[in-house]
Amino acid sequence: MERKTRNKIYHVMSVAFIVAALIFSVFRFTPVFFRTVESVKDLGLSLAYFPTEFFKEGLVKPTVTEISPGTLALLPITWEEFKAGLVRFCELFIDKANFKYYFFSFLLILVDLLIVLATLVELLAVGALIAWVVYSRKEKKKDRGKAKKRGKRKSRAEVQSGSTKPYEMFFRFRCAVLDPVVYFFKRYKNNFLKRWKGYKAALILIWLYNLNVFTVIIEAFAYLFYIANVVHGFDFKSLPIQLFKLVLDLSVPILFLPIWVQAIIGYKIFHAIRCWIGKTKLRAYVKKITGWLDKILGSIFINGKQRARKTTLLTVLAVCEAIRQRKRVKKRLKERAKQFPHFPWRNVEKTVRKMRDRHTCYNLASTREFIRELRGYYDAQGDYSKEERHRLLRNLRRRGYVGDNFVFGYKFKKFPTSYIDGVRVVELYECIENYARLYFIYTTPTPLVFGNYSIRCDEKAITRGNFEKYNVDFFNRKPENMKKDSQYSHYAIGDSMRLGKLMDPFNPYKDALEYGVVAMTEFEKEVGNQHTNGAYKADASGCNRKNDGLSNFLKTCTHMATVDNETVFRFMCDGHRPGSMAADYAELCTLWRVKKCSETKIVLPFFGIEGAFCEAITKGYDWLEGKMSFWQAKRTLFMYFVDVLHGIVFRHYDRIRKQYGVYTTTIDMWDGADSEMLAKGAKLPIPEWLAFGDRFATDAWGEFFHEKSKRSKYGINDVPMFKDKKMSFEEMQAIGSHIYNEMGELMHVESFVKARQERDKWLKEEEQRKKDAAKTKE
Amino acid sequence: MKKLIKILFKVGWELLLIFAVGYVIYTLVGAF
Repeated sequence: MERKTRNKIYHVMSVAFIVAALIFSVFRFTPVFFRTVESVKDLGLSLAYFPTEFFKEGLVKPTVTEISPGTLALLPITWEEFKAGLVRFCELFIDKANFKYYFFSFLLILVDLLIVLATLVELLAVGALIAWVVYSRKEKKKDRGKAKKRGKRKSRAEVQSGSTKPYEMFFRFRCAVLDPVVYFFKRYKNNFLKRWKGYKAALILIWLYNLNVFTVIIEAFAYLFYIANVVHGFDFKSLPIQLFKLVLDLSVPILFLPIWVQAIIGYKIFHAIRCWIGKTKLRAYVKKITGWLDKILGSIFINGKQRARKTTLLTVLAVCEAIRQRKRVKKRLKERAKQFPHFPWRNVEKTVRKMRDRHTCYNLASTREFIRELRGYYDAQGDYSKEERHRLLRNLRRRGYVGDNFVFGYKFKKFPTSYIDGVRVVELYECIENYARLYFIYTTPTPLVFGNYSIRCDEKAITRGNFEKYNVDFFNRKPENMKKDSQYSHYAIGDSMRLGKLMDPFNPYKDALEYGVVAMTEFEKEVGNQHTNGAYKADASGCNRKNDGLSNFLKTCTHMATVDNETVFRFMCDGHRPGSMAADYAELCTLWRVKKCSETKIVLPFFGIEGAFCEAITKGYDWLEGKMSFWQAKRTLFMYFVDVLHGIVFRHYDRIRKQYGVYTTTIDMWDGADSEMLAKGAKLPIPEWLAFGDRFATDAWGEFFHEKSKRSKYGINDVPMFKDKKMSFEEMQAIGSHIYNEMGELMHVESFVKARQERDKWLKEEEQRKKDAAKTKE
Repeated sequence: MKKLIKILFKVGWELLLIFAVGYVIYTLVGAF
């Protein structure tokens, strides 16, 4: 269908929908009109009642506490009736007969549900049986028969790519009828209504009116203005009428919408509430992690066995530490601003932002230098002529400065230039310097995380207002926007942490590290220990593990990153065991041993029955699919429907599991210096949404091994296998083990001794060859 | 087995909750 024709049809459809909605308004929802008028009247009178009651009592009589004449009171409307109802409720609640009746009704509903489920299972079983009997063997025989006739056997791939006739027929029907219809309506919803917003707005407004939503909202405001009047206090006795009115108003959509629509809307509301509770729980876990980081000072070394999720923990800690640092810096920033409340702090912020954009202030040091330069002008401003002052300010503005004097436009003659905090005198320029540096850190547009592997960081700056806010809520992000909202961690450049010999003295970024979080994976392999570093010399000309001064950096790094007594730096690393690392590093860190990780637990409330149902469906599907894929040569219509239905359940379950899955890691924590146990078997919950939402690659070093395997001409199927359970000498020799070779030589096994002699001979020849080559060169 | 018991416990607990909430609503409707 052409686009123009389609658009014409869409216009006609939209008008038809609006007309239909209006017809509904006139004929089906006539009482809604009167209720809306009544609610507007209630609101108007409540609005008038709110101020007039202060001046003269009884001037306006609100009608929000009354019901319109002629309304059939199905619920108690007076306070006395309501009280009597409550008493009746208490009596019934403990009534044996009432409980018994309810209990058996509940059981009957459960039995009905089980019958429905059993019927579904039965239908599936019959379908599976038919598909298996009709297609599996027949198809194979048919294929073989045809192949025989053709004189060659049909390949496995050819057989499997086929599908049964009912499936093909359905597929053709789907392509010809179903898909075009579905796309037609999808285009209408996703493209047309988005472009023609008037139709959408009109439809929404009419249906909100039809389903009495406006009345409910207007009545709520009317009641709010009525009870907000404090002259008479809170009118409890008017509550039953409001409840009655609410039930009456809600009965319009409830009675109109079919039961299945009500069920879907009810489930959506229930799901939204439980998702909110689930996300609150996840946020509480993040707070717990940040709480741990608050308590543990200094560097952290995470160790444990392979697959203990050490790097996962390291990544989560690094991301949480970055959030923590920004939060703490912001707090300190606000405290500083309070010391000089009349100071135009916005000008400092604008200056920092502008100068950073122009790269005239690009780190803490250059920011400090600029503020000190400004202070110099401020101190000497009495010595400048008017022209000099004007020229200086013009030059400063060119660099990004905002202000009409040398104190960012602060009226220093009118307002104080020092503040006594109880123990010391804080000078204005000290405060400005700290504020500017803290603001520089707080508004860092790139992640605060450095790493020797990539970590996805998604702190999102909200720059709509003046003072930036950071959205650090990991659990309200859409996966489709992930790439757009994310940045990856900075390189943790080795030379930026070396105080001794540098690997690349010409690296332009070697002095760029000032603050942030440094996360290093497999760190003990980076630094080595006394045994592994034996071959290195401290006085060697090149950079090595003994002369790079990395340990000195880690000991003194907090001096580098402290602004206004707030340290904005943390070093974190992981490895297999602290013993593999030089004692200098191990004793510097708090050691966290990951002992075990629990299974994933779903923290979404009320997911037990749904989860069990999804699990059962998935298990059943896996069983059926396993059997069918083994026996069936062709794709059947039955399996197509099973796939579609299971897909709905699976996708729902999979998303919930990944979003609300939390695993608990058990940690022993001790001080590296004196081995004092700080925590034993402490449990730290890790939300999987935070840890595995494309946060990092668990195989960060995988490229090395990929390169190694790429070189190989052989794979797993080419590697020789043992012939028997008892190994032969040849097989032992082929393994190339140190111990087998030693044992063979000790026991004088001929093949081992011979092999050894040949190896020695080859080594000697090799050495001789090298010597000869050296001599020839000379 | 342990996992099954856990699942059954969870399902039982949620059924009990549904039962209790349902009973309150049922009695409320009856009383008013």
